[in-house]
Formats: sequence, C-alpha cells, structure tokens
Amino acid sequence: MIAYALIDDEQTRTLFEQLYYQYRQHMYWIAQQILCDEYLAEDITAEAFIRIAKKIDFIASLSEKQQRDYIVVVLRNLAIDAYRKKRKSPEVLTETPETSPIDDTLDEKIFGKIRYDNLVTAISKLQDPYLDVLKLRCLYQQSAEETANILGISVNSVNQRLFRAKAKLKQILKEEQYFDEAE
Amino acid sequence: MKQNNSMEQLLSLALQDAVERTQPALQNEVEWAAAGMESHTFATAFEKRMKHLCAQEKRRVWFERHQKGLRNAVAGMAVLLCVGGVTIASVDAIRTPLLQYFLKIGDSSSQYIPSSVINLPVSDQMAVYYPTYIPEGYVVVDVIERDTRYHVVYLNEEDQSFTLFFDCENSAISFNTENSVVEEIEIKGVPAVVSMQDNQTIVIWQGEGFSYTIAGNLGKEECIRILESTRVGD
Repeated sequence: MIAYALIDDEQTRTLFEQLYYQYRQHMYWIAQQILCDEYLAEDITAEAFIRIAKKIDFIASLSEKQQRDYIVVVLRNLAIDAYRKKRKSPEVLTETPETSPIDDTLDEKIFGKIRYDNLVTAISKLQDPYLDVLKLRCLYQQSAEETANILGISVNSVNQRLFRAKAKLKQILKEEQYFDEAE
Repeated sequence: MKQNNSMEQLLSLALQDAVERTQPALQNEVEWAAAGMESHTFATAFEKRMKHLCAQEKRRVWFERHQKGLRNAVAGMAVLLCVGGVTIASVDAIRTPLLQYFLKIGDSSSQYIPSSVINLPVSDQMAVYYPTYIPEGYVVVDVIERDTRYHVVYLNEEDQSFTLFFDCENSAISFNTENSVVEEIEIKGVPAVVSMQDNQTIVIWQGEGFSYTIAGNLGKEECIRILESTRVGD
C-alpha cells in the first residue's frame, strides 16, 4: 500500500520536482566542493533550483543528459560567482588573459578540413568557462543577456569569452593536428 | 552569413554530441547512492524553501493543464449568465417578482426606523389613518409607506403575524377564497368582507376615500377591533 502510494506520488510529480529529488544531493556536493561552505552551498543549490524553475519549459525540451548538463552549468557558475563575491577578489576565476595574439577565425576552411569526430573530441578538451559559454550560446541557444545572467558576468564578457572559446577550440584542433593548415 | 550559420549549426551539433557522449556531469539519487556517496541532510529552511517552490511549480503546471477546461468553464458560466439574464428579462413570471423583491429591499432600507420609535411606524401624514388599537404582544417588524398608502407587518412571540394595508384610494382587491368562509359585515356602518380559512383571516374594509385590508393569523373579532380603532368613518 505504501509502495503503491510512493509510485503514485512519483508519477504525479512535476518535472521540477523530479529534478529536485533526483539531483539535489549531487548539486549540493558540487556547490560544496567549490565553496567549502555548507550553508552557502545550500543557498546556492536553492538559488539554482529557483533558476531551474524559471527555465523549466526550456529544460523540458532537452534530453536527459542535456538537462543534467544545463543544470550543472547553471549551478557551477552560481557557485563560482558566490565564491568570487565571498573572496571579494574579482581576479579569481575571471577571464584568463591571453598571452598570444587571438585567432578566432574558426571559419569554414577549418571545418572543411577536420573530421566531425575530432571536433567533438576537441570540444570535450575545452576548459569549463569556455565550454559553458559555447554550450549556452550555441547548444542551448540562450541569448547573450541570459548567458550573462547564468555566468554572472556582463554581456561584453560573454561575447569576449565566446570569442576566446572559439579561438581556444581552434588552438586545440591545431595542437592535436586534427587539421593541417598548410593543406 | 550563410557559411557562418552552417558553422554555428555544426558547432551546435558537435556540442550536442559532446554532451551526449560524455558521462553525465550530474548523478541522480540512484547513481549517487550506488557510488557510495553520503547523503547530505538539508537544513529545515532549505527544505521549506524547496517545498514552497515545488508547490508553486505544481500550481503552475495544474493551471497550464487545466487552462482549456477553466476557459471553457468561464465561457459556460458567461453563457449561462447571459441566457439567465435574457430569460429573467423576457419572462414576466420571473421578472416581476424579482423586481418587486429588489424594490422591496430598496423601500425597506430607505424607511428604516430606529427601535425607539418603532411603535410609530408611519409618517405624520399617515398617522391619522393608523389604528389606535393593536392586539397585545405584537410588534412592528416592517413598514412600507408610499404616497397614498402604507402597509405594516406585525409579529408576536409565537411567530404569528398579520399585515395591515391602507390606501387613500379605493381599488379592486383580489384574494384567494378557496376553501374559505366568506362573510359580509359592517364596521362603523361601512360594509366589509371577511374571509376565514384555517387560522388565516382577511378583512377588506373600503369606504369613501379609504381602503383597509388586514391579513394574517388574527381572529375576526380582533381584526374588527383594529379597524374600529381607526379615525376614519367617525
């Protein structure tokens, strides 16, 4: 009888409730790893759920893996933002200054020469800040404002980070010799 | 621009595949437990906040799911109200009592008399037609006065009531005489009609320039005594 009630309860759960009961533990753990503060980690987890609730229709349109990925992007960036504020050091985890001139020409010439699988592999080698901005703008089709809101940075920084992410991707493709520029 | 678009599409596709091919970055409860990770006990404030958020989301989903039904229900109510309104306005049998009811409310409220003066229920203009005798135990519970007429409702503690109608103008009065004993009498030398049925008595007394009717749980004698106590016909 109790088991039946539990099954019934799970079936009537909204998507938001399902996400909450499924992922709250790991979400808290991720926030705790970044913040090393139990109370702040709970606050950030709650804040992440508030943002999830606001975007629940969009999240519903994603596959399960994409849902998990989107939630992590939102949560991680909230935690990083909170950490930054906590430390009151704007330098922490902000844009990495480029030491070499940026080449963002991720153009059709390059894409024409690389194998699709290599592009996927190169993407997975990107650092989180670059990967997050690429995912939010190119995969989840979020606007620059929405992306800025999720990442806790300005719209200008979003555009700058996207620019650098593409340059970084090209750099990885070159370094891994996934395409030959001379060809 | 077209090439840029196709590049963006390719990048989007590659990103999608990257997400789908890699291990999920977030573990669900089952995976979390299977990995032997310890579950965190959240603070009460957190649980409360989340419960509130869940309830809010549940409400939103419910409204979204039932939006069509709700819209139909509202439309149905609106149609019912319209049909009801038209019916009431077009059928006399419904419209007239309804109008009378509302008019009566208006009259009653505009002629509210404080309890200290309730024994003088009608205005000075009508007081001359008011009987000086009222059976013991009866109190005034309602008074309506118009230009040439008034009516007063009396009630006693045993829930017996009678109504006294007065009009300066004589007009035809219809009343139910089914299973009643009807009798013609004279009060102060002016003809009157008495109709009795069970414990209900109706006395109609009409003379030159006055018309009295008493109807209610009163005996014939009491009715006559009331009418005799008026100053008309003296």
